[in-house]
Amino acid sequence: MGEVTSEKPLKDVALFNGPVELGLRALCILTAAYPASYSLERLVVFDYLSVHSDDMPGGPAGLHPQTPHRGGEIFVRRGVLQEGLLLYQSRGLIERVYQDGGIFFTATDKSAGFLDALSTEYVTGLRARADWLVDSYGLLDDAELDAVVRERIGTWGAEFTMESVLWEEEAS
Amino acid sequence: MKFGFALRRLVLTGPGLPAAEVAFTRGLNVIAGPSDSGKSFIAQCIDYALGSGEPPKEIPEVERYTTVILEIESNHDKRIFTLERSIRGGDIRLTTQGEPDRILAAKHQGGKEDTVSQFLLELSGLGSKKVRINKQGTTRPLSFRDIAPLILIDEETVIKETSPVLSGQVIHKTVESGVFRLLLTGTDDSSVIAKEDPKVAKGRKEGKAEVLEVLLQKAREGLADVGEVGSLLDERDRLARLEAALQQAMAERDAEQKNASPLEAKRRGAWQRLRASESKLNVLSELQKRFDLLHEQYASDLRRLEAISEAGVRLDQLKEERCPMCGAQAEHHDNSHRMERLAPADVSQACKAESAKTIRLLQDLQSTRATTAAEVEQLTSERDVLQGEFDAVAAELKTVLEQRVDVAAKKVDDIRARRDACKKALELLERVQELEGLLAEANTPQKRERAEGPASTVSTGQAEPFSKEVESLLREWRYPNLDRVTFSEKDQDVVISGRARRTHGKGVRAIFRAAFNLALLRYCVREERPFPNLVLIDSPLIVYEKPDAGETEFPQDIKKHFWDSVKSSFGDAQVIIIENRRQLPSDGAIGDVNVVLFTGNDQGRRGFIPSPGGSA
Repeated sequence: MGEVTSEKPLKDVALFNGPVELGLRALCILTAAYPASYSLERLVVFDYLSVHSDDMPGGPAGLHPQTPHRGGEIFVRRGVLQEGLLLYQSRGLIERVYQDGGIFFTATDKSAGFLDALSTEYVTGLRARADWLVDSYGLLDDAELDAVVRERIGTWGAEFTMESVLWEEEAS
Repeated sequence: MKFGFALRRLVLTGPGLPAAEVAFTRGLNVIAGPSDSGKSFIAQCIDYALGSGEPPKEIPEVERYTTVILEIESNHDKRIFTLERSIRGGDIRLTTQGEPDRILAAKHQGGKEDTVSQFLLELSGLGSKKVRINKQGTTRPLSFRDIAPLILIDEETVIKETSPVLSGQVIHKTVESGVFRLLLTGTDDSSVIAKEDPKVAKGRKEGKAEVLEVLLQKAREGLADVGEVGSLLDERDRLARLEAALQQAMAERDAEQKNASPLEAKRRGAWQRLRASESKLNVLSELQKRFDLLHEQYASDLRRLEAISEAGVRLDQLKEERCPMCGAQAEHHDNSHRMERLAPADVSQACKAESAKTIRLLQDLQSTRATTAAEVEQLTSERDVLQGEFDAVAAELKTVLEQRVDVAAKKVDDIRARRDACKKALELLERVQELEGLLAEANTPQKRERAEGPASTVSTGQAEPFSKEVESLLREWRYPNLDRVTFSEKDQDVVISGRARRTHGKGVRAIFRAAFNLALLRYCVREERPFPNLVLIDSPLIVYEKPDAGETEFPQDIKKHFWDSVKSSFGDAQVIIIENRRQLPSDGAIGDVNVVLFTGNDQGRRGFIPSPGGSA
């Protein structure tokens, strides 16, 4: 069977979790939070939770399947997310603001219009989860949010205890 | 003949006197003559030369004679020895050809070589034997004097009422019956280990009794705990029955287990097949899960590609306000680093290609899932069948085990428990019995412990072959109304036709006595028992001489048969009969045996001692 992963190289470009997609998800989150501004750290966490919303208790169904070891995704998105933010910033859809706490990102007055123009099922789903995220965790400060994630990250993708059955039976 | 010796010559010498001499041969020798012809004196001289402590009776004729010389011949190597002893007592000079003379002590001393007793015992094959001297088991070496009364029977002892084995002195009884047993069985008392003196043992026994009481009490309590217990015999019987029942129950159980074993093998096989099938199903269902996940993944990917593509198109439509890399306004930006990555429109294009590929993969996956699902379905039904088989076999086995094997095993356990209880009861019973016995023994201090080893007396059974010998002799003699001859352990004497020897008149006692001693001789010769293998009897036929009242009717022909039998019975062994001349067969039919005839007058030889005028 094929490899169960979403990181598939296509030429030299990562389509999945590339700048376009990550930026789109960040835009959905920032639009839902608008006019609030979020740090890069919060955006990384919210990006993960926007597609794996069912990893949190009471969260809506996940947009992405519950693949093994998905918890690790959260640590590898930061770089690409920054690129995505830059891409959408270049189109005037995201703005970078400098505050006492450092660099923050916020949606612009064009953001909601841009998203409204997108018609795919995925974006609709993204926006609904972004609303849920902002409602549920928007008021936690960065440190509190970090604690919530650390508490659970070990369980994300650890459901696959029967993995060994396949290996053993194949070996025998 | 291996053992014993024969007398060759008895000589009585004195300075300046004619030697008194009598010669003997092997087989029967008869010394006949009237009273006072010195017949019995001959017997005394022989006994004296053989180490008796009692010198021959001093009769006037022998006053001046000084020395008794007895010539004997070994049965084993036919060597001739001369025993010479002063008639007044003292030790004995032993002379034999080719060896220096030896002086043998007349008195027997245990273990000492140079005694006449030891010398004669060696000749008889009895050199190293031991006899018990008391019931505690103390022993001493055998002496030839112990044997002498069984081979030299004078005219007084021949009619004695006591057993030929016993002297009548109680303190000697143990030794005497021990000697007789030794001759009959060849078993001496060497192995007997002396017990401690009864007086010393008494105190010990009283202490022992107390301990035994306590132990007995305990054993009885234990027995009470066991519950209802029968007699020792009953319990032994019961134990035997239970053992048999246990064996049978175990065999039945084993048979049942054997019956169940093919079923067990079947169950094992079914279980293994079921397990293999389940394992396959586990793998497949896990695979199905992964396929499901992959399916979700593909679906999710397709949705994402769609969204990315659309977002890419839209982004491309928007005028770039700032450089995504440096944030510079577009109009101020040189495009040096813009080519490094694809424009959103290219991303959109790529998404479409990827989508097409993913759709193909999704289709493949769908067909794989269908195949797997079918396989799972088939395996599931197969598994169900196997499960059914297994359940059926297991149920059958359970029935067999529960109804037969378990019942049989339970029966085994049950009987075993009863057997063990019975065993315990038996042990306790035996213990009680043993302790009671020991206690009874300990409580009767006057009852002496029996020494280890053979009993001191000769039992009826031990004497059976000997009794038969006596019986056969008497039969040869045509003893009237003869029935069985047995041996009385109590009297240590023969019982003839149910009547003890001692209850007969003296004449019959003498005949029986002769029968007793001649039977012993014949028995020892035939059985090759160590024995001197010679017998001298003085006056066995006294019944014809001085009959008791009621013995006059004694049949005359016994005499004839007596002589015939004795003449022919002993071959190389030596029998010397001293008898009144009248008791010899009147027809002279005694034949070619050595007859020494004394006349008591000047016709022929007057007597043993030559008259001063010299023998005729």
